[in-house]
Amino acid sequence: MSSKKSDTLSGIAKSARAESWLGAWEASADPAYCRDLEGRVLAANLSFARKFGKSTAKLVGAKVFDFVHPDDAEKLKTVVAELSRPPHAAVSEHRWLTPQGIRWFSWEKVALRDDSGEVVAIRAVGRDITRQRLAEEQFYRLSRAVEQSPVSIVITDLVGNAQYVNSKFTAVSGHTLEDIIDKRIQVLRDGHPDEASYQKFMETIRAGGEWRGELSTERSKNAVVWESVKVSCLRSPGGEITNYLCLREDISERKKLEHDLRQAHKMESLGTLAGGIAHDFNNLLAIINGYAEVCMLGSADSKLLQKGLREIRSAVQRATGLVRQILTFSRKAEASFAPVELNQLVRDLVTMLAETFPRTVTFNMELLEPLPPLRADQNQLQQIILNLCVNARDAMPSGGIITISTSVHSGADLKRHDVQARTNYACLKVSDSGMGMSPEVRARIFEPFFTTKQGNQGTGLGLAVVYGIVVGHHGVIDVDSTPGVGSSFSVYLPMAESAVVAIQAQANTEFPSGTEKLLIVDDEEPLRDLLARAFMKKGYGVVAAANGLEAIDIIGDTNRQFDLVLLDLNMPGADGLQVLKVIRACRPTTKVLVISGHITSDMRAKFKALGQDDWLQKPYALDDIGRRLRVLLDAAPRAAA
Amino acid sequence: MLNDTTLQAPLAPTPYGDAEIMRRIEACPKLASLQSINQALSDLVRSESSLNSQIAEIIRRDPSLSTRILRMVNSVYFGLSARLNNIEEAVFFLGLRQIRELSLATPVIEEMERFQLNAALPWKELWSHSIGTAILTREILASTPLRIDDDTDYLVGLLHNIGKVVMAYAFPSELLTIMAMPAASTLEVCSNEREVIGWDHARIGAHYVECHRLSDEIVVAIRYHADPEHAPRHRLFAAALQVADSVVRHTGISGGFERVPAAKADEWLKLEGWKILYGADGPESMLARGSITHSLRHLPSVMQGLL
Repeated sequence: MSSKKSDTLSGIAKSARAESWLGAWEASADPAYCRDLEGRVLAANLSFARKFGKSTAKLVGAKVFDFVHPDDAEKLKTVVAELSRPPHAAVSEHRWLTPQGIRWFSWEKVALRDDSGEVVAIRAVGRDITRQRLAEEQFYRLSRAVEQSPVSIVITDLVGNAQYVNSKFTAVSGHTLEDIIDKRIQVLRDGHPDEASYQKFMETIRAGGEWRGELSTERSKNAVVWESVKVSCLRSPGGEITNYLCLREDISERKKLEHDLRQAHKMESLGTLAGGIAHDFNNLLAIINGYAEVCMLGSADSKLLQKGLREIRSAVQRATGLVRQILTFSRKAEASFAPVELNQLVRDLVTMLAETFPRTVTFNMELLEPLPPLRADQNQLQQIILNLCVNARDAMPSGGIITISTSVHSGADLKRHDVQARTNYACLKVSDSGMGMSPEVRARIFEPFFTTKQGNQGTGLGLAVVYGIVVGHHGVIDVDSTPGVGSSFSVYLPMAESAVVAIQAQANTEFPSGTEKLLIVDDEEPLRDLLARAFMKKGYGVVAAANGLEAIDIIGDTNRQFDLVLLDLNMPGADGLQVLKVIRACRPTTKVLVISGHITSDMRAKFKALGQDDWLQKPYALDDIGRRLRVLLDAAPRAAA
Repeated sequence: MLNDTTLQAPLAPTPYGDAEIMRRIEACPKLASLQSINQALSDLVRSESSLNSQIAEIIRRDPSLSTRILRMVNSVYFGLSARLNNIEEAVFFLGLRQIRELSLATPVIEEMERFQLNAALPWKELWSHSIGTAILTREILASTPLRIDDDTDYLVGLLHNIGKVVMAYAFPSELLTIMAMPAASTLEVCSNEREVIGWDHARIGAHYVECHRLSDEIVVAIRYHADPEHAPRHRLFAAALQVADSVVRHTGISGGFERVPAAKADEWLKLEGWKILYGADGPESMLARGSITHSLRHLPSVMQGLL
């Protein structure tokens, strides 16, 4: 544009009345102004003048660039090019310097053209959008923060349609928002095991409540993701629920660690237990060895010989019990409830612990006799006693007294806990004379991984495990502690409605005789011979197989008849499971008694699937096996599957 | 759905029933975009400092992307307020990451064609025609009393031939048949489409964008862009679209997937759309003629470098 022309224009500007430039916007409440292509103000309305604290007359001829934030000046210039193209209108946002400070304005600009269509001036009508702009900036900041969250975030409408998912959600689930819309994926339902669970969840949040839980989802093949989920409502300023917010945190790793640590802790307890057992074992071995030597001396006195053998047998039985204990403990077995003599359990464990704990720690037992038996899992009860005693020991580094007492309380006595008033509870109380706990520590002792022990001495799981077991038995636990005096833990476990009497160890009598035919399958020759001889003596017909393959041959031979198979599990060649499959296929009505040293729950499930429920644990007494076998034979015949 | 009373094919039997046609349209996957556009978009969204307006500018060049983004934003904000018809606002509401994911999940025409036995279709031509029509529709509508402050005026133009893109997916062999049939005008192309498929591209496209929750103005304008007189509502949109379509054809950018001779100058003055917009021969018509002549001069330079 030539300078001559612009002179003319500014001439027009000086002479022309403001309305001719501003038109209807002269009286507008929105600030409006006109400028020439060089950026000189040709006219401004009152609203504009107020905003910039000058009179309209003074503004004419002023340079707009003096009012515009320097960073936005370039934008102001480029808009000219846009206005020269149809539709000769544009909207732009920039910062202006006003007496109030920097303000954001949105300008609607229109090119004013002369008769030949040339743009001669620009008219701009603006609005102060500072507040909106700040809100947008805040929105950007917050949305960036949400985007980077390590937690999956989903916002849905009230029906459950996704409206927003953050990048973590997409990364974990593999679904983008477009996918979710395309495939109509119901994001809130994800992970609920069934319709009932989902409906209950929806009820909670529809009522405006918050829902928390842990859900597992199969994200890809065989990869199950555990998530801690929290769903809550988003409300409008008026208090109406507008959206649901779902936060999902991947806790698979934590779940696995917890599980591993629990197992590690069990192994740690096992170490303590094994220490005690080793001691007991040595004693038993000494007894066996001693009496065996006596017997070998070849005394003529048959009574003395008999006594020696009886002692050996009883020592072996105790050793068997010990091994069984340690085996069941190390297994990830689920609880199996059976009547337990609590007092006897305490006595046995205390004997063992007294050997392994420092000499400065002494035990004091105050046991209520007689105490009716409890229905409980013996292993888990042992674990409770063991963990409480170990904690008591650690609370008394310089020694002291551990008092273990048992008593019976009615549910009414324990009202402060949420228990059934009609039930009686057996109480096991373990007290120490140690340093006690502060209220802060006391409040947290049952949290997993909370420990006051230094370094690697504690996993922080001991009391958490105790707590878990007590809850599993529908019991309660009570803690009493005075700093400097000591702590006591009271475990209350419900007693059976009608006191179940623990099955007394049966007296060793001769086992019943029979005439049925048995097939004995065991690769251990001495055991096989022993069983064969014992049963033949009782009148049974016996066939023996030295391994699985031989057993399968015999089973397949239709000329042979037998009523029951005694089956060992671990054998070279074909193992017990394979033999059992053959039995089920060829002789579906034949009864089977499985004998094994150690059965994993996996294995147990496989046998269950084949309809096999009868087990005998190794090592066994001949009496046991004789009676079990009789019971099985006398029971109703097996129905063919 | 809109009632079809006037565009029924007169004689030829309908090869597909309405239900089957709708099923095919609804089962149509994400429509593909041009590689160059998607590349430009993915470059932009990879940078954190891109402006929404820049991103919207790119998306506006692509009918497929525009449909997808509007569908997404209208699904997300469905029921809350009016339908959103502004690409820049859609970019703002969805956020940069959603656009990035959108771009990542975009099928690209050039790659798609490698796996197809179909002869290469003139996609680029279709895209140019769509953009040109969009620009002109916006200019024409700016000269009417309608005040439009979102992208509706642009989108009707951009999406008016989306039915042809859908046809390439849903009726690939029929499309080739139609392209091989002689046609002297766009109306003949439409009637060929109805003869072979049952619906023409206008009806197919209208149904497609309706499924994508696009607003009624767009659905109706697309549906009646060859016959604005019969549009039950939003006649100005359909009329502007018809005129813009014809003007763009005059510049030699054909409608895509067809071999109709370019429109002659001022052919659009005889269109129904022109009469709806400006009356028969009044002063408005004179002004509009001048304005269109002006636009025609600028169009090639405006379109330069968009694809």
